[in-house]
Amino acid sequence: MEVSYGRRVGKYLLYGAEILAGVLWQITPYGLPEIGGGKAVILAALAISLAMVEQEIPAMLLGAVCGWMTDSTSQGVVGFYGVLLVIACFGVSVACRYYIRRNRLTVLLLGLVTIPPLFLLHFWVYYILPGYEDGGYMFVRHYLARIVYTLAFLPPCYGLNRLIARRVGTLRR
Amino acid sequence: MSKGRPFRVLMGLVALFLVMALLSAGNRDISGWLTGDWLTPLQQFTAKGTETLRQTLSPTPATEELLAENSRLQEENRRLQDMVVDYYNIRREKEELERFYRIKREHRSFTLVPSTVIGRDPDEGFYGFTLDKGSEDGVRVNDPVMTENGLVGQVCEVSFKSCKVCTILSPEAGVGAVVSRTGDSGLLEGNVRLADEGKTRLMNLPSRHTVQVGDIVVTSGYGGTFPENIKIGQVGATILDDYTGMPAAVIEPFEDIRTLSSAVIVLESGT
Repeated sequence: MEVSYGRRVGKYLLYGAEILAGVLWQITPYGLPEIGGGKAVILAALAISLAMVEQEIPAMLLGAVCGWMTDSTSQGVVGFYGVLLVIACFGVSVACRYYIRRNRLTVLLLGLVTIPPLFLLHFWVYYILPGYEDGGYMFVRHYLARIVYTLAFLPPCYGLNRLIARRVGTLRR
Repeated sequence: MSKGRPFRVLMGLVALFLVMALLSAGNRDISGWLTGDWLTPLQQFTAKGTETLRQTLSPTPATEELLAENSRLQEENRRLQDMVVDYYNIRREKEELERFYRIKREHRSFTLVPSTVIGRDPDEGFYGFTLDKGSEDGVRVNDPVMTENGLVGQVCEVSFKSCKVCTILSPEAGVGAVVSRTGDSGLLEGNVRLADEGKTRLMNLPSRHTVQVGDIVVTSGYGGTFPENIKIGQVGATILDDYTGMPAAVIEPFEDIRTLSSAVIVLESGT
Protein backbone atom coordinates (compact mmCIF):
# COMPACT_ATOMS: atom_id res chain seq x y z
CA MET A 1 0.00 0.00 0.00
CA GLU A 2 1.44 3.34 -1.08
CA VAL A 3 1.96 5.79 1.77
CA SER A 4 0.70 9.31 1.12
CA TYR A 5 3.11 12.20 0.73
CA GLY A 6 1.59 14.00 3.71
CA ARG A 7 2.18 11.05 6.04
CA ARG A 8 5.78 10.78 4.89
CA VAL A 9 6.35 14.49 5.53
CA GLY A 10 4.74 14.15 8.94
CA LYS A 11 7.02 11.22 9.75
CA TYR A 12 10.16 13.18 8.90
CA LEU A 13 8.92 16.17 10.87
CA LEU A 14 8.56 13.86 13.87
CA TYR A 15 12.07 12.55 13.28
CA GLY A 16 13.32 16.14 13.13
CA ALA A 17 11.62 16.97 16.41
CA GLU A 18 13.19 13.88 17.96
CA ILE A 19 16.67 14.89 16.79
CA LEU A 20 16.20 18.44 18.06
CA ALA A 21 14.97 17.21 21.44
CA GLY A 22 17.84 14.73 21.57
CA VAL A 23 20.57 17.29 20.94
CA LEU A 24 19.11 19.77 23.44
CA TRP A 25 18.76 17.07 26.10
CA GLN A 26 22.31 15.90 25.38
CA ILE A 27 24.06 19.24 25.80
CA THR A 28 21.89 21.23 28.24
CA PRO A 29 23.69 21.67 31.60
CA TYR A 30 22.00 19.42 34.20
CA GLY A 31 19.79 18.03 31.45
CA LEU A 32 21.35 14.58 31.47
CA PRO A 33 22.82 13.25 34.73
CA GLU A 34 26.36 11.96 34.68
CA ILE A 35 26.37 8.26 35.57
CA GLY A 36 29.58 6.47 36.33
CA GLY A 37 31.64 9.34 34.95
CA GLY A 38 29.98 9.47 31.54
CA LYS A 39 27.03 10.96 29.70
CA ALA A 40 25.11 9.43 26.83
CA VAL A 41 25.50 10.68 23.28
CA ILE A 42 21.78 10.41 22.62
CA LEU A 43 22.01 11.28 18.93
CA ALA A 44 24.23 8.27 18.26
CA ALA A 45 21.58 5.91 19.67
CA LEU A 46 18.87 7.84 17.85
CA ALA A 47 20.67 7.61 14.50
CA ILE A 48 21.20 3.85 14.80
CA SER A 49 17.58 3.29 15.83
CA LEU A 50 16.32 5.36 12.88
CA ALA A 51 18.50 3.32 10.51
CA MET A 52 16.79 0.15 11.76
CA VAL A 53 13.39 1.30 10.51
CA GLU A 54 14.31 3.24 7.37
CA GLN A 55 15.71 2.45 3.95
CA GLU A 56 19.34 3.10 3.13
CA ILE A 57 19.20 6.64 1.75
CA PRO A 58 16.86 8.11 4.41
CA ALA A 59 18.88 6.27 7.07
CA MET A 60 22.12 7.81 5.83
CA LEU A 61 20.60 11.27 5.62
CA LEU A 62 19.19 11.00 9.14
CA GLY A 63 22.57 9.70 10.35
CA ALA A 64 24.23 12.65 8.64
CA VAL A 65 21.93 15.10 10.42
CA CYS A 66 22.51 13.45 13.79
CA GLY A 67 26.26 13.40 13.19
CA TRP A 68 26.37 17.02 12.08
CA MET A 69 24.33 18.12 15.14
CA THR A 70 26.64 16.20 17.47
CA ASP A 71 29.78 17.59 15.83
CA SER A 72 28.53 21.17 15.84
CA THR A 73 27.76 21.10 19.56
CA SER A 74 31.05 19.50 20.57
CA GLN A 75 34.65 20.60 20.41
CA GLY A 76 36.76 19.22 17.62
CA VAL A 77 36.42 18.94 13.88
CA VAL A 78 33.02 18.96 12.24
CA GLY A 79 32.61 15.69 10.38
CA PHE A 80 33.84 13.06 12.81
CA TYR A 81 30.44 11.84 13.93
CA GLY A 82 29.01 12.80 10.55
CA VAL A 83 31.17 10.37 8.59
CA LEU A 84 30.93 7.56 11.11
CA LEU A 85 27.17 7.75 11.63
CA VAL A 86 26.52 7.88 7.88
CA ILE A 87 28.54 4.70 7.39
CA ALA A 88 27.04 3.00 10.46
CA CYS A 89 23.49 3.91 9.47
CA PHE A 90 24.03 2.61 5.95
CA GLY A 91 25.30 -0.69 7.31
CA VAL A 92 22.51 -1.03 9.86
CA SER A 93 19.82 -0.21 7.30
CA VAL A 94 21.17 -2.74 4.80
CA ALA A 95 21.44 -5.38 7.52
CA CYS A 96 17.86 -4.80 8.71
CA ARG A 97 16.43 -4.79 5.19
CA TYR A 98 18.17 -7.84 3.74
CA TYR A 99 19.91 -9.95 6.34
CA ILE A 100 18.50 -9.57 9.84
CA ARG A 101 15.03 -9.94 11.32
CA ARG A 102 14.40 -7.14 13.79
CA ASN A 103 13.82 -8.26 17.38
CA ARG A 104 15.11 -7.29 20.82
CA LEU A 105 18.24 -9.40 20.50
CA THR A 106 19.22 -8.16 17.05
CA VAL A 107 18.56 -4.54 18.07
CA LEU A 108 20.98 -4.98 20.95
CA LEU A 109 23.51 -6.79 18.76
CA LEU A 110 23.41 -4.04 16.13
CA GLY A 111 23.94 -1.52 18.90
CA LEU A 112 26.94 -3.46 20.21
CA VAL A 113 28.44 -3.64 16.74
CA THR A 114 28.09 0.10 16.06
CA ILE A 115 28.20 2.15 19.25
CA PRO A 116 31.28 0.74 21.07
CA PRO A 117 33.47 0.97 17.94
CA LEU A 118 32.25 4.55 17.44
CA PHE A 119 33.44 5.58 20.89
CA LEU A 120 36.62 3.50 20.66
CA LEU A 121 37.51 5.45 17.54
CA HIS A 122 36.61 8.72 19.28
CA PHE A 123 38.89 7.75 22.18
CA TRP A 124 41.72 6.90 19.80
CA VAL A 125 41.39 10.09 17.74
CA TYR A 126 40.77 12.57 20.54
CA TYR A 127 42.76 11.06 23.37
CA ILE A 128 45.40 8.56 22.22
CA LEU A 129 46.64 10.33 19.06
CA PRO A 130 47.21 13.68 20.86
CA GLY A 131 49.33 11.74 23.38
CA TYR A 132 47.42 12.57 26.56
CA GLU A 133 48.34 10.84 29.81
CA ASP A 134 46.35 8.20 31.68
CA GLY A 135 44.59 6.77 28.66
CA GLY A 136 43.54 3.69 30.57
CA TYR A 137 42.01 5.74 33.34
CA MET A 138 40.18 7.92 30.81
CA PHE A 139 38.75 4.90 29.03
CA VAL A 140 37.66 3.03 32.14
CA ARG A 141 36.45 6.10 34.04
CA HIS A 142 34.64 7.90 31.21
CA TYR A 143 34.35 6.02 27.94
CA LEU A 144 33.00 2.72 29.30
CA ALA A 145 30.20 4.54 31.10
CA ARG A 146 29.49 6.59 27.96
CA ILE A 147 29.20 3.40 25.86
CA VAL A 148 26.83 1.68 28.29
CA TYR A 149 24.79 4.83 28.86
CA THR A 150 24.39 5.42 25.11
CA LEU A 151 23.45 1.78 24.52
CA ALA A 152 20.76 2.12 27.19
CA PHE A 153 19.05 4.75 25.03
CA LEU A 154 18.92 2.47 21.99
CA PRO A 155 15.90 0.28 22.91
CA PRO A 156 13.55 3.17 23.80
CA CYS A 157 14.67 5.11 20.71
CA TYR A 158 14.07 2.05 18.55
CA GLY A 159 10.66 1.47 20.14
CA LEU A 160 9.59 5.04 19.48
CA ASN A 161 10.82 5.11 15.88
CA ARG A 162 9.31 1.71 15.12
CA LEU A 163 5.98 2.97 16.43
CA ILE A 164 6.20 6.07 14.24
CA ALA A 165 7.21 4.11 11.13
CA ARG A 166 4.42 1.54 11.62
CA ARG A 167 1.74 4.17 12.22
CA VAL A 168 2.79 5.99 9.07
CA GLY A 169 2.84 2.70 7.18
CA THR A 170 6.41 2.63 5.94
CA LEU A 171 7.37 -0.29 8.18
CA ARG A 172 5.50 -3.58 8.00
CA ARG A 173 5.18 -6.02 10.88
CA MET B 1 15.81 2.75 -7.59
CA SER B 2 19.10 1.61 -9.12
CA LYS B 3 21.18 -0.74 -7.02
CA GLY B 4 24.20 1.56 -7.06
CA ARG B 5 22.34 4.67 -5.91
CA PRO B 6 22.58 4.11 -2.15
CA PHE B 7 26.31 3.51 -2.50
CA ARG B 8 26.74 6.72 -4.50
CA VAL B 9 24.80 8.63 -1.84
CA LEU B 10 27.01 7.07 0.82
CA MET B 11 30.18 8.12 -1.00
CA GLY B 12 28.80 11.59 -1.54
CA LEU B 13 27.95 12.11 2.14
CA VAL B 14 31.32 10.73 3.30
CA ALA B 15 33.13 13.06 0.89
CA LEU B 16 31.05 16.02 2.10
CA PHE B 17 31.86 15.39 5.74
CA LEU B 18 35.55 14.85 4.97
CA VAL B 19 35.64 18.25 3.25
CA MET B 20 33.86 19.81 6.25
CA ALA B 21 36.36 18.17 8.57
CA LEU B 22 39.31 19.47 6.57
CA LEU B 23 37.85 22.97 6.49
CA SER B 24 37.01 23.09 10.19
CA ALA B 25 40.30 21.49 11.29
CA GLY B 26 42.33 24.14 9.48
CA ASN B 27 40.30 27.11 10.62
CA ARG B 28 38.22 26.91 13.76
CA ASP B 29 36.41 30.16 12.94
CA ILE B 30 34.96 28.61 9.80
CA SER B 31 33.09 26.06 11.87
CA GLY B 32 30.84 28.95 12.87
CA TRP B 33 28.76 28.81 9.71
CA LEU B 34 28.71 25.01 9.89
CA THR B 35 27.57 24.79 13.47
CA GLY B 36 24.05 26.08 13.20
CA ASP B 37 23.80 29.26 15.28
CA TRP B 38 20.04 28.79 15.16
CA LEU B 39 20.51 26.25 17.96
CA THR B 40 21.91 28.84 20.39
CA PRO B 41 18.56 30.45 21.40
CA LEU B 42 17.14 26.99 22.11
CA GLN B 43 20.19 26.13 24.19
CA GLN B 44 19.75 29.36 26.16
CA PHE B 45 16.12 28.51 26.80
CA THR B 46 16.74 24.95 27.99
CA ALA B 47 19.79 25.92 30.09
CA LYS B 48 17.75 28.61 31.83
CA GLY B 49 14.90 26.17 32.35
CA THR B 50 16.99 23.46 33.97
CA GLU B 51 18.82 25.96 36.19
CA THR B 52 15.52 27.43 37.39
CA LEU B 53 14.08 23.95 37.98
CA ARG B 54 17.18 22.88 39.86
CA GLN B 55 16.99 25.87 42.21
CA THR B 56 13.23 25.60 42.67
CA LEU B 57 13.36 21.91 43.61
CA SER B 58 16.09 22.40 46.21
CA PRO B 59 14.39 21.41 49.48
CA THR B 60 14.03 24.12 52.10
CA PRO B 61 12.32 24.11 55.46
CA ALA B 62 9.80 26.67 54.11
CA THR B 63 8.71 24.37 51.30
CA GLU B 64 8.21 21.44 53.67
CA GLU B 65 6.04 23.56 55.96
CA LEU B 66 3.90 24.70 53.02
CA LEU B 67 3.48 21.14 51.82
CA ALA B 68 2.32 20.09 55.32
CA GLU B 69 -0.48 22.68 55.11
CA ASN B 70 -1.22 21.96 51.42
CA SER B 71 -4.95 21.18 51.65
CA ARG B 72 -5.79 24.46 53.40
CA LEU B 73 -3.34 26.78 51.60
CA GLN B 74 -3.30 25.41 48.03
CA GLU B 75 -4.13 28.64 46.27
CA GLU B 76 -1.62 30.67 48.34
CA ASN B 77 0.99 27.92 47.80
CA ARG B 78 0.64 28.19 44.02
CA ARG B 79 0.96 31.96 44.21
CA LEU B 80 4.07 31.65 46.40
CA GLN B 81 5.63 29.15 43.99
CA ASP B 82 5.15 31.60 41.12
CA MET B 83 6.81 34.29 43.23
CA VAL B 84 9.71 31.94 44.07
CA VAL B 85 10.36 31.29 40.38
CA ASP B 86 10.38 35.03 39.68
CA TYR B 87 12.58 35.56 42.75
CA TYR B 88 15.20 33.04 41.59
CA ASN B 89 15.28 34.56 38.12
CA ILE B 90 15.83 38.04 39.54
CA ARG B 91 18.33 36.79 42.11
CA ARG B 92 20.35 34.98 39.46
CA GLU B 93 20.45 38.12 37.31
CA LYS B 94 21.47 40.18 40.36
CA GLU B 95 24.25 37.70 41.25
CA GLU B 96 25.53 37.69 37.67
CA LEU B 97 25.59 41.49 37.56
CA GLU B 98 27.36 41.65 40.93
CA ARG B 99 29.99 39.19 39.71
CA PHE B 100 30.45 41.23 36.56
CA TYR B 101 30.80 44.43 38.61
CA ARG B 102 33.42 42.85 40.93
CA ILE B 103 35.49 41.66 37.98
CA LYS B 104 35.22 45.04 36.30
CA ARG B 105 36.24 46.82 39.50
CA GLU B 106 39.33 44.60 39.87
CA HIS B 107 40.32 44.91 36.22
CA ARG B 108 39.26 48.35 35.07
CA SER B 109 41.19 48.15 31.81
CA PHE B 110 39.39 44.97 30.68
CA THR B 111 36.57 44.96 28.18
CA LEU B 112 34.26 42.28 29.54
CA VAL B 113 31.28 40.40 28.15
CA PRO B 114 29.12 38.52 30.67
CA SER B 115 27.78 35.24 29.36
CA THR B 116 25.90 32.11 30.37
CA VAL B 117 26.86 28.46 30.02
CA ILE B 118 24.34 27.00 27.58
CA GLY B 119 25.89 23.66 26.77
CA ARG B 120 28.22 20.96 28.03
CA ASP B 121 29.44 18.38 25.55
CA PRO B 122 29.09 14.79 26.81
CA ASP B 123 32.28 13.90 24.91
CA GLU B 124 34.34 16.61 26.61
CA GLY B 125 36.68 15.01 29.11
CA PHE B 126 38.03 18.25 30.56
CA TYR B 127 34.73 20.01 31.34
CA GLY B 128 34.74 22.38 28.40
CA PHE B 129 31.50 24.25 27.82
CA THR B 130 29.61 26.52 25.43
CA LEU B 131 28.81 30.17 26.18
CA ASP B 132 26.01 32.22 24.62
CA LYS B 133 28.23 34.97 23.20
CA GLY B 134 29.94 34.81 19.82
CA SER B 135 31.59 36.85 17.10
CA GLU B 136 28.63 39.22 16.89
CA ASP B 137 29.58 40.29 20.45
CA GLY B 138 33.25 40.72 19.56
CA VAL B 139 34.43 37.38 20.92
CA ARG B 140 37.48 35.88 19.23
CA VAL B 141 39.47 32.68 19.54
CA ASN B 142 41.95 32.73 22.46
CA ASP B 143 39.99 35.34 24.44
CA PRO B 144 40.39 34.54 28.17
CA VAL B 145 37.32 33.40 30.12
CA MET B 146 37.04 34.05 33.84
CA THR B 147 34.69 34.49 36.77
CA GLU B 148 34.90 36.67 39.86
CA ASN B 149 36.91 33.83 41.46
CA GLY B 150 39.52 33.56 38.73
CA LEU B 151 40.51 32.25 35.33
CA VAL B 152 38.61 29.24 33.96
CA GLY B 153 39.87 28.90 30.38
CA GLN B 154 40.00 30.43 26.94
CA VAL B 155 37.79 30.55 23.88
CA CYS B 156 38.82 27.81 21.45
CA GLU B 157 36.00 27.99 18.88
CA VAL B 158 33.74 30.86 17.90
CA SER B 159 30.57 31.00 15.87
CA PHE B 160 28.28 33.94 15.28
CA LYS B 161 26.15 33.52 18.41
CA SER B 162 28.14 31.23 20.66
CA CYS B 163 31.64 30.12 21.57
CA LYS B 164 33.25 27.04 23.02
CA VAL B 165 35.65 27.25 25.93
CA CYS B 166 38.63 25.00 26.60
CA THR B 167 39.27 24.99 30.33
CA ILE B 168 42.47 25.22 32.35
CA LEU B 169 41.84 21.58 33.33
CA SER B 170 42.81 20.49 29.82
CA PRO B 171 46.26 19.20 28.78
CA GLU B 172 46.10 21.82 26.03
CA ALA B 173 45.57 24.72 28.48
CA GLY B 174 49.06 26.19 28.00
CA VAL B 175 48.46 29.14 30.35
CA GLY B 176 51.61 30.89 31.56
CA ALA B 177 51.34 31.16 35.33
CA VAL B 178 53.48 32.36 38.21
CA VAL B 179 53.39 31.70 41.94
CA SER B 180 52.77 35.16 43.33
CA ARG B 181 54.83 34.70 46.56
CA THR B 182 57.98 33.15 45.08
CA GLY B 183 57.94 34.28 41.45
CA ASP B 184 58.41 30.69 40.21
CA SER B 185 56.77 30.39 36.83
CA GLY B 186 55.46 27.50 34.81
CA LEU B 187 52.77 26.36 32.41
CA LEU B 188 49.32 25.05 33.27
CA GLU B 189 48.73 21.59 31.85
CA GLY B 190 45.97 19.38 33.17
CA ASN B 191 45.32 15.67 32.99
CA VAL B 192 42.17 13.59 33.25
CA ARG B 193 42.71 12.37 36.81
CA LEU B 194 43.12 15.88 38.20
CA ALA B 195 40.37 17.23 35.96
CA ASP B 196 37.90 14.81 37.56
CA GLU B 197 38.75 16.45 40.89
CA GLY B 198 38.46 19.94 39.41
CA LYS B 199 42.23 20.49 39.60
CA THR B 200 45.09 21.12 37.21
CA ARG B 201 48.91 21.19 37.24
CA LEU B 202 51.60 23.83 37.04
CA MET B 203 54.35 22.18 35.04
CA ASN B 204 57.97 23.09 34.21
CA LEU B 205 58.74 24.58 37.60
CA PRO B 206 62.41 25.36 38.25
CA SER B 207 64.24 22.49 39.93
CA ARG B 208 65.09 24.72 42.90
CA HIS B 209 61.62 26.22 43.34
CA THR B 210 60.33 27.26 46.77
CA VAL B 211 56.64 26.74 46.11
CA GLN B 212 54.59 25.65 49.10
CA VAL B 213 51.07 24.39 49.66
CA GLY B 214 48.68 27.32 49.88
CA ASP B 215 50.62 29.64 47.57
CA ILE B 216 48.45 31.67 45.19
CA VAL B 217 48.97 31.20 41.45
CA VAL B 218 48.17 33.96 38.95
CA THR B 219 48.65 34.42 35.22
CA SER B 220 52.10 35.61 34.25
CA GLY B 221 51.11 37.52 31.12
CA TYR B 222 53.89 35.78 29.14
CA GLY B 223 52.91 34.99 25.58
CA GLY B 224 50.40 37.80 25.34
CA THR B 225 47.27 35.66 25.33
CA PHE B 226 46.33 36.14 28.96
CA PRO B 227 46.65 39.42 30.85
CA GLU B 228 48.87 39.18 33.90
CA ASN B 229 47.76 38.88 37.52
CA ILE B 230 44.45 37.13 36.92
CA LYS B 231 43.89 34.75 39.82
CA ILE B 232 43.92 31.05 38.96
CA GLY B 233 44.02 29.06 42.19
CA GLN B 234 46.18 27.88 45.01
CA VAL B 235 48.82 25.19 45.29
CA GLY B 236 47.35 21.96 46.71
CA ALA B 237 50.52 19.88 46.56
CA THR B 238 54.02 19.89 45.10
CA ILE B 239 54.91 16.77 43.14
CA LEU B 240 57.33 15.25 40.71
CA ASP B 241 55.50 14.59 37.48
CA ASP B 242 55.09 10.84 36.82
CA TYR B 243 55.96 11.13 33.13
CA THR B 244 58.67 13.78 32.98
CA GLY B 245 60.11 13.56 36.50
CA MET B 246 60.15 17.36 36.63
CA PRO B 247 58.87 19.41 39.58
CA ALA B 248 55.24 20.39 39.30
CA ALA B 249 52.44 21.64 41.51
CA VAL B 250 48.84 20.56 41.76
CA ILE B 251 46.66 23.66 41.44
CA GLU B 252 43.19 23.91 42.96
CA PRO B 253 41.37 26.59 40.92
CA PHE B 254 39.36 29.10 42.88
CA GLU B 255 36.38 28.43 40.62
CA ASP B 256 34.69 25.02 40.37
CA ILE B 257 34.80 24.71 36.60
CA ARG B 258 32.78 21.48 36.59
CA THR B 259 29.61 23.20 37.84
CA LEU B 260 30.04 26.65 36.31
CA SER B 261 26.82 28.31 35.11
CA SER B 262 28.08 31.73 33.99
CA ALA B 263 31.36 33.41 33.11
CA VAL B 264 32.86 36.55 31.68
CA ILE B 265 34.82 36.78 28.43
CA VAL B 266 37.71 39.22 28.34
CA LEU B 267 37.73 40.95 24.98
CA GLU B 268 40.55 43.40 25.59
CA SER B 269 42.87 43.81 28.48
CA GLY B 270 43.85 47.39 27.77
CA THR B 271 47.37 48.65 28.59
